Amino acid sequence: MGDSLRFDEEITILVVEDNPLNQKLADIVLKNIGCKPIYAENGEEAVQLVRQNSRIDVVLMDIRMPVMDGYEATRIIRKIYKSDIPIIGLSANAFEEDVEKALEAGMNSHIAKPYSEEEIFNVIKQWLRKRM
Amino acid sequence: MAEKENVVPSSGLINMEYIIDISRGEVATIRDMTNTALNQLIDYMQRMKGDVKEGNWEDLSFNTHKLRSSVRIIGAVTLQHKLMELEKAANTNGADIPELFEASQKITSEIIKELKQELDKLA
Repeated sequence: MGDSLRFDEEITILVVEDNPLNQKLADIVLKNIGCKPIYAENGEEAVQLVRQNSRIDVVLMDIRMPVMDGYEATRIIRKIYKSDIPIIGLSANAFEEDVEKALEAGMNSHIAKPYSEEEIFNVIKQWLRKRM
Repeated sequence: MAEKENVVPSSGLINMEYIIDISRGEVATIRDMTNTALNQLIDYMQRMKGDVKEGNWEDLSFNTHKLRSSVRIIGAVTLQHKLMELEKAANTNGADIPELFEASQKITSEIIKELKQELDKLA
């Protein structure tokens, strides 16, 4: 894995995930590619953090979570807070219907867990570039 | 990174290659991830056992899904497939829930042994 899979500037990523092993995975992979991860354990916490923290560049959103799921959190971020922050859905499935549901809720993209460094680097880069 | 040479992917019901790869072969990180995987397997199976006992299929579906979403990290493909069957059964109140849970439990018991062996190798 070369250094080409590394951002030149630090990118702040909000990881919305309640599973401890998936959190650790995100922590390792995101730091490997030069990102700074911050965490929320459910959709409700994610909504609050997006509202309060303008330094978040991208959200990695799990789908099935307690309190508030990823679809609902995304709808609130888009419709109530009118935010265009890139939101990438993460789930155990990558079936066509899962991708469609994610996009319908307002997510920009959807990838299956576990992801490779290359996969997550490319999807973050793609949506950061489109936002600029 | 000198310790990297001692890290060998296991065979059987798990495959540690993914963890070794993202950890860049660093033993402390591999050990931490392996420990988390082990504790999480025990914790989720305990919750799922309670859900089956209480006939709470909604929570069973949720907890099964949560466990399923992370077992690929340790390359536990057989368990992942069995958990997918169990989750589907829980979503449809399937009569085969007890049988599928028992099968998942058996696979998990074997995986726990393998993860402990991995930890012994990393000690």
